[in-house]
Amino acid sequence: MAAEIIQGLNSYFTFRLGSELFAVNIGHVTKILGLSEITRVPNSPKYFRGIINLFGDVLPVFDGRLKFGFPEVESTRNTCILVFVFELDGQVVSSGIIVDSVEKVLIFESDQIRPAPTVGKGFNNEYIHGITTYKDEFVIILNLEKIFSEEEISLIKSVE
Amino acid sequence: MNSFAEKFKAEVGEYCERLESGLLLLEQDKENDQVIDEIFRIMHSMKGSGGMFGFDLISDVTHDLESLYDLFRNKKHKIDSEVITFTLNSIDGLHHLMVQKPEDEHLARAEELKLATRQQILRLTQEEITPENLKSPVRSSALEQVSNPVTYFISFIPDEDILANGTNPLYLIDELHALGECNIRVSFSQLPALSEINPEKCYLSWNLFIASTENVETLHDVFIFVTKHAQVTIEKVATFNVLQNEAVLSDFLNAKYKNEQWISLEPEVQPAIKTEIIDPDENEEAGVLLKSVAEVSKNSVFAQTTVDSIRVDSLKIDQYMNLVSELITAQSRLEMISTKIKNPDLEQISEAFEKLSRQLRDNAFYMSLIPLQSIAVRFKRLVHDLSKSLEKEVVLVTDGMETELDKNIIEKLIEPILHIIRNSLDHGIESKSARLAGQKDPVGTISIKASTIGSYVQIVIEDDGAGLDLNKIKEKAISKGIFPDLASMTQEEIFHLIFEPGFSTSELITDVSGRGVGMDVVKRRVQEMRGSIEISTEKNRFTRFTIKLPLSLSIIDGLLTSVGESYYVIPSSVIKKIYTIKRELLKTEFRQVVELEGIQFPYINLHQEFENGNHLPEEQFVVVVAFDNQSFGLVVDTVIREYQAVIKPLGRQLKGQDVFSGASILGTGQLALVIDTNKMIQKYS
Repeated sequence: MAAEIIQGLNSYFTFRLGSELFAVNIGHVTKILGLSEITRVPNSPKYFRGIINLFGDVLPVFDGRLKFGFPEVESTRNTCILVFVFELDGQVVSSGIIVDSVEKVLIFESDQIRPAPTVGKGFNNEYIHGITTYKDEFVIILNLEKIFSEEEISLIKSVE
Repeated sequence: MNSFAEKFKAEVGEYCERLESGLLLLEQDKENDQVIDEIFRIMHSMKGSGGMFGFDLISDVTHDLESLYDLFRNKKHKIDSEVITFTLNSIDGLHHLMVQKPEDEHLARAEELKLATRQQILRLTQEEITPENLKSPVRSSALEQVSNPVTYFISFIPDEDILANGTNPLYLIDELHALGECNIRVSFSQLPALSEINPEKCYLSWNLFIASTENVETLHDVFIFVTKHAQVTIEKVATFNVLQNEAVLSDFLNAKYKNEQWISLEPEVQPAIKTEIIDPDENEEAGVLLKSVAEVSKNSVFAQTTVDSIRVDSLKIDQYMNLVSELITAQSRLEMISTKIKNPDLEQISEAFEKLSRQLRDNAFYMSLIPLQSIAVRFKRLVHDLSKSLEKEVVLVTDGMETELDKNIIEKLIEPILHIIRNSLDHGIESKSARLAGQKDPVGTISIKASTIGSYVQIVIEDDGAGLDLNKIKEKAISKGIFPDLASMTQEEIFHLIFEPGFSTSELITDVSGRGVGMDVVKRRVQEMRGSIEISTEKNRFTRFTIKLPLSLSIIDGLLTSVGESYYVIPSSVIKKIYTIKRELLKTEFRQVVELEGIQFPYINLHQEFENGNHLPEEQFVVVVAFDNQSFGLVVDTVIREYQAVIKPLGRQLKGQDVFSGASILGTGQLALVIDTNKMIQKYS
């Protein structure tokens, strides 16, 4: 997977999970794929949907809804896989995240982005790069690197 | 740093390795002229390429070393242990001189080495006049006589059933080839028509001329195990090497083969001028006549010993492996389409393609494997040096060094093994007096044995020393206060404490080992390679370390199976048998044990583990795999077919699990998970 992260762009890729609008820096996004058959890895956590064949390589795919605590829904024709890259242990790796729909690419200047509010416990705002608005709607800009670099999936032994 | 300099450094490294192994050989057999020649030659090449690439110090020092070895090569002097040890040290010194722009420190070191070398030369040349050395000219002339090759004619007619006892006649021919220059012809005259061929019978026979410095007995010895199953005649045809003179050779060939149809295995030797046919009986005479011609051409031992190998960047091999992997993935897609379309032409191509890519895969795979032999010399060197400085007499016995492992694994293996040997030499093997007092052989033994077991390579390192002292380990553990709960530990668990960080039982800290860093690193290294290390010991008898490592396998032969709707690949190398089994047989068992053909196996039902036991099918398959020394059943829903799996890594996010060693892309584009059976059984049973 010869993908690289492009730094210093102010374009953001937006997508929806439930009714919320999320965004990631476009430098991290490499591909948008239609939902294809996902090979389940037995006994892995539920938000890890499995692996797919991405042009001859293995791509792990996460369920965005489950990962961010949204209720599980049936997939629709808008459901797709957002392929993104991030750095893990000094290496650039690819992952996929299933989102309800992809929207558009928007440009936010850094002064338009406000830091994440510090609300409540149990909400790790390290995961949020910042918040901005678009057409009176909040856009949550995610820090994908942070979310997935701490991820190491171990298989849970099934309980007899 | 320019790439020439890099190349030179790599080259010097290799030269040094070869020098070391040569010197260690000399240690055993100080009069082996071939080895001395080889050493001289390597030094000469080092000198040459050192000068060429601007490493003048290296070329300077090797020049002097070369002069030293010239003394032995000319048989003016005999080599002794002191010289060997001196040379080994000089080789170590050479490593420090690999600089293009020498500073004072380097110059001083080079000067030192040169001086030491000159002293060695002086020491030897002064000793020269002792009466002992006067014998040497006699010996050398005797040697010269033997080294003149003599040509023999060998006819080897195996019985038809020679293959039945496991003999491969070609190996015998190969063996002969190793003894000298050969001209080989094979006869197909007994070969029946294709329809009548019995593949278990041998219909061929061989005739060959061999020019060898060995005597007739040695040649006879090659056939020692087949004397009852073959007719072998060996006759001396000339007292010189006939094969080197084409004209003479063709005469001999014509004489031998004039009545029969023989096919040459060598590129055809075309006689330039046809001379009259010489009768076999007159061979001896003809030989005498032509002797003067043959004597001119020198015996070319070196020409034959050149190694047919090229140096390839390991990166290129990795790229090659990747390409082969892609080819195999493409091939499985082709196969799938061809089975769907059912066009006989396409099927034929697909089959040929499959066969080729399989061969290509094996080829690529073996290319990236190197034998343990390549690092064995470092172990020998360590034992040689350390045993001397510790004043212990220790022999190193190696076995199975031809076992091959992935290059990357071998590189990572050197340090752990060196460390274990160092420990064995320092702590394991007792001093000579202690060994004598304990009625043991005063010479200690360290053995390294390697073998391939299934998809693992096992390396056993054993010394016949004092063994681990259980009480000392206990005391130590208590005094360090890290392991207070010793009472509940088994003996084995206590022995394994030596793998804990910061643990060292040696009372005296020596500069060899005993700093308490080491065994924990050894264990970690082995585990990094997905291997395991075990220890067993008996007081005053032995300490044994058993290291198990996976063969690196990025492409494997596997069995494609399915469980639920997913596909799984089980490596063929661990599979022993496959049975079908009815659901009720698995259900009625109280424990997870199933009895097949009167043998009981523990089993794991993958359907139950992976699919939470929903919709168990009526009939399943039990794939019996090897697990340690036992058999273990993996129950899958269906066994689909054999499958060449290109293993793709699951990605870093999944490295927390080790049950699946990777995934493989099927012809349909779907993925199949590759099961690491050992890890799976450990985890689920």
